[in-house]
Amino acid sequence: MASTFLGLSITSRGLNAAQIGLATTTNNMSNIDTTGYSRQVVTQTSVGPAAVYSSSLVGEGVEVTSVDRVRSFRLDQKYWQQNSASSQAEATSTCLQQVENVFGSTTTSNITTDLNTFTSELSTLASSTTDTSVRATVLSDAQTLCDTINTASTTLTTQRSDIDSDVKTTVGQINSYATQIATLNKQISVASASGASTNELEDQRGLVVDDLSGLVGINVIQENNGDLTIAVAGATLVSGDKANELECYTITDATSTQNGMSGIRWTDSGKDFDTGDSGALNGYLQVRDGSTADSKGIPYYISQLDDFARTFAKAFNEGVTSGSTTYSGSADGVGIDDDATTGTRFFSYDNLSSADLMASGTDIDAVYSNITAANISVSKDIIDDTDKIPTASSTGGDSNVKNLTDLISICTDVNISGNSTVSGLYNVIVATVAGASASAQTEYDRKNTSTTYINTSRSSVSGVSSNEETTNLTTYQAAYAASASMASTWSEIYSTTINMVNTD
Amino acid sequence: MRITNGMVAANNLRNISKAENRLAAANAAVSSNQKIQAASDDPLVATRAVTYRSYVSQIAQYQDNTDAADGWQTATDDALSGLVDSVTTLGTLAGKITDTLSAADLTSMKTQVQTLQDEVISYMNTNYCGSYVFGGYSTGTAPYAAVSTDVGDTVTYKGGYLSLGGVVSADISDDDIKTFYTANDGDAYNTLTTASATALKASTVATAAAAAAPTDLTLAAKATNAKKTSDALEAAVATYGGTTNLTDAVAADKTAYQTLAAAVTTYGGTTTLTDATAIAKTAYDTASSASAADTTDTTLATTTATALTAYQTLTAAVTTYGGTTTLTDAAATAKTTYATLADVATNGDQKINYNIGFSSSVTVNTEGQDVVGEGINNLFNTIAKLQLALNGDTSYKTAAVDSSGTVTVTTNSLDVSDLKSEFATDLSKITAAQATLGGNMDRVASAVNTLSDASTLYKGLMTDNENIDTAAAATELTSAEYTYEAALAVGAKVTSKSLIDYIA
Repeated sequence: MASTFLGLSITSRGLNAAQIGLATTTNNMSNIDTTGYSRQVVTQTSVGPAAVYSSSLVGEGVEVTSVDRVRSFRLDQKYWQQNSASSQAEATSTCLQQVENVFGSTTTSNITTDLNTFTSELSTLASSTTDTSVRATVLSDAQTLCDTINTASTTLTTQRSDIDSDVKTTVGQINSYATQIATLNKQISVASASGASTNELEDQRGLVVDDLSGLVGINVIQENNGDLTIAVAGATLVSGDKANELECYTITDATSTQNGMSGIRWTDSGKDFDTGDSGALNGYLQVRDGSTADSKGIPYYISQLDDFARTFAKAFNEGVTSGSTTYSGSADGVGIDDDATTGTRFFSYDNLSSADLMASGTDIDAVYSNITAANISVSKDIIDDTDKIPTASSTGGDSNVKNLTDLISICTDVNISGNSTVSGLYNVIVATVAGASASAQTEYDRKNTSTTYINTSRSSVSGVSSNEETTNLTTYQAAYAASASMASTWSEIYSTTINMVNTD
Repeated sequence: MRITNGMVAANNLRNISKAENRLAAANAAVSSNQKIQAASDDPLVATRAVTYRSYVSQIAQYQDNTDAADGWQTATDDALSGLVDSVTTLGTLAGKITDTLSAADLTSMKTQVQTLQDEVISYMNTNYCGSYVFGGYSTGTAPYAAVSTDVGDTVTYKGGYLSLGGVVSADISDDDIKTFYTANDGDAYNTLTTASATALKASTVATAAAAAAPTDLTLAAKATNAKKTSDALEAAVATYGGTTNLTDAVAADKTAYQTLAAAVTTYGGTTTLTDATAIAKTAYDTASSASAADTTDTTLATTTATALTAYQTLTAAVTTYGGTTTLTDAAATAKTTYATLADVATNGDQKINYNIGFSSSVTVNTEGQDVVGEGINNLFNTIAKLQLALNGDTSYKTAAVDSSGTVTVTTNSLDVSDLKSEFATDLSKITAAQATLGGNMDRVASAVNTLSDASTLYKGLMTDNENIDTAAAATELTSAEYTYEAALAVGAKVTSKSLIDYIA
């Protein structure tokens, strides 16, 4: 025999469940645009009969057991992994696009343009060797060429220190995210211990982990108590409510290419931080420190540019032997009214005079190793006296331009290094930078497509669909209405019953 | 798969931004007329662009050079044509001299010859755009000048006497000639002394360079060669005397070597120089007595002269190589000496070369000595003889110096009938210079065509490489616009509708 008020209690449970359903739906609809929000669903079960001594078993209505967030941890893990990879590609390609601009595009390749201008002016000098205005133009064209090379190198160095600032900022962000995750771990474990809902907290935590995965490659494990343990390249970053802090320090090692840049280490142990192999931080470091042909970064391009400046200066100053032909350099030439081989080196560094340049090293190679793209300049002798620009192969004769002809050849069609002419050498650098930048962009596009796909899958599982919620809304509304009409039915029944008692 | 609002929005946004990027790229291509905006868009196009641009700029420079070369060569050619006329007239005048000419005729012919000589000098001082075309490297000052000296009028080339001991009137005393010769022996043009000093300097420099780098085989070889040349010139100075003209010395060396080579055939290679000299002396004595017996026989006279040359050459060879040397060895040594001197004479050429194409250059100038000669056999000496002949002289004097510095004055007979053929020889030298120049002019003319073809080709390649195909780019732009608009229209429709709109 069921209790008298069973119907009303079932009804109230039904109303309650429908109300929770409506509230959940409303919550979902309100959060339709909230980043990182996972839709929530109501889990309800029918309540069995309370009494077991009755043969007429009637259920006692419905009960909401929990409101859960719909989330796939496996998809999250996949997303974090892929996001690290595509963020690295993004950082690399962004940095390389900046680097690429230094070397110019088709129409703005300054170094090539300046070289062509300089060579043309040398040819003009060949037909009017004594014209001081032409000599002055040759000097200014040479200075422009040097300035352009200097600027390219300086810009690269500036970009490198900009990227170093990015590295510092990134390390700061990693620390901040790790701390947030540790705090949320603690809040979640406290909340779940007290039986409260942790849906919103977990969403927040997931969002922070998403951000962190963009910065550095992470490995995330979900512990049984709901904590997320996060490791980078095997070293623990976050465990429970504890985050291990990272710090930047300035590397002072003159032999290393990283000298003057920021290194990263664990604050507690002082050990160097292994950045793993993905994440934006890695992309920055790769462009900042890559100095070999296998890992091309700014130092590599600077050294390429240095080689270019050095090889060109050496060829122009000392002459080159290409095949069986020897082309004389500026040191073999004679300027105007000079009664001996001048030995003037046209290019030097930091505006040193020709003699100072030659005294700067023990042999030719040592001397030219001092010239870099950053400091190449026209030598002081030429700046002070343009009459010293060497044109003739020996003294006497205004129109002896044997030396100048060789110099022009060195600037145009002579292989000054291996099988490369001057413009060929520079072209190799442009091609390398452009190729690296193009492949970084392609890689980013490719990886970003995967990341987007996984993110879409996550959205498909966890995102809010307004159509679905509208359906739920009508469903719960109908359920509520049904329960409410049940309540009025029971109310009538109870009135009848009570009236029966009253009319006695 | 669930489709959520976030997915739909993100997809829409992604598609719109893709379409927008495509539109931006198509728009940039059309508005800039460039296929690529950055090198990484297509590294191959970028690097090719650098190469083609430098080719185009070089070709423009070569075209400027061909214009300059053409002007210079045309000026030279005009001068040479005028010179041919003047020398032909001189030859005709020389043929007109007979004993029956009246004093008035002689006077007018003298005036004419003087005018013609001035004409020749002015042709040889032709100036093109501020450069004297026949001056070799010394284009700044007029190369030829008529000067009056203590021993009569003569002509200087670049400030040196063309023929110091040249043709002097028989009226001048031997002592005056010797005094003049000794006083001016530093002022002769292109002497062995000058060549020897230059060679010695070059040898010293090369030896020092080789000593500084003991491992450098190239430098060592250079030093050895420079030393060899310097020694050969020193020997030549010893043989012919320092003021002898280099070209004359080369000619004398050639005769000596040819005589020795002929002697090898005549006497057998193993004969010693002493024995050969004795035989040659006997042959000469026989020939000269036969010639003396019959003064009318010109054949005998010629034989005598040849025998005398052979005897003198062999006597000199005994002095140079020692009496016990075999003819074969002496001939071989003489050949080497001649080759070295001839090289020095060739290397002394002051060729002004203009680059008129990739690795091709053309000589634009013709040097004065290649037109009017130098040393004893030059055009001005022939004119001087003609003037003496017009004065009625039958002999003229020349001076020469031997290795000990002793000046000997020789009186030569002046035969009017020989003058015509001497002018013919001078004329053939001018026509040879014209032929060489003509060859170079043809090269410039063909280079002009080649360069204009190359310019068209590379400009075409440059355009094909960098510039857009307008039709294709315009089509792409239209299609990109359409896609973008479609993406916007559809996106706007799709995102604005959901089930919520249809709930009554």
